[in-house]
Amino acid sequence: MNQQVSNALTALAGLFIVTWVGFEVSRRRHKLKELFDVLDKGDRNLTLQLEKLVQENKIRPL
Amino acid sequence: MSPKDLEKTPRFQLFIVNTGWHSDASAVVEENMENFKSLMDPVPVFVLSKEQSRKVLLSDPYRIGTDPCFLLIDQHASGGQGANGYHGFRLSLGRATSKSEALEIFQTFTRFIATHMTSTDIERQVRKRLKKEGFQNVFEVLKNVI
Repeated sequence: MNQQVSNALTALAGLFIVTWVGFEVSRRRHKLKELFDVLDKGDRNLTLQLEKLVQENKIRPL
Repeated sequence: MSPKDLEKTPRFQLFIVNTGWHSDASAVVEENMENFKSLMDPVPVFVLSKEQSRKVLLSDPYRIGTDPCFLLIDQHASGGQGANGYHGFRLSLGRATSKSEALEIFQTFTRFIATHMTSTDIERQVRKRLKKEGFQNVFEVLKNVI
């Protein structure tokens, strides 16, 4: 009985660690991509606006 | 853009969007702008006014609070996974949580551009870097567990 409880607790702890590692890695990956990433569809509006500002001569390089 | 026009245009354009939050990241950018600008030569650096920055971010409200943002657009790249013809990458420095972190990220970003300015496919370099950082994160997390 004690052995069964011990095995169950070990399995539970293992599962918890694996879940936590997966969650933490995914959280860090998300944070990194929020900070630094290639331009994607989400940046389309922003890039369009910037291009428009250059075309209309509203901004000039420093 | 025709190939002839393309030849005349500089390959990269760098935009800085900053609405002026009183944040550590904003302070880092303002304090180091002169240095950054000279290290980026010959890339044209466009700094949007606060008003222009607000207008631009309102077109994409999800990005509010992530500024100062840096967008490097590669005008000579084509095809691939670009955002409807746009290629390049962005840094959302406003995500940094402290002044020292913001400065470190800003320096890394500057170094990255300077190092890969002549690369034929800068997006590939960005993806490689992200992959490398991703692996480092996995090792760090595993190190914490062990």
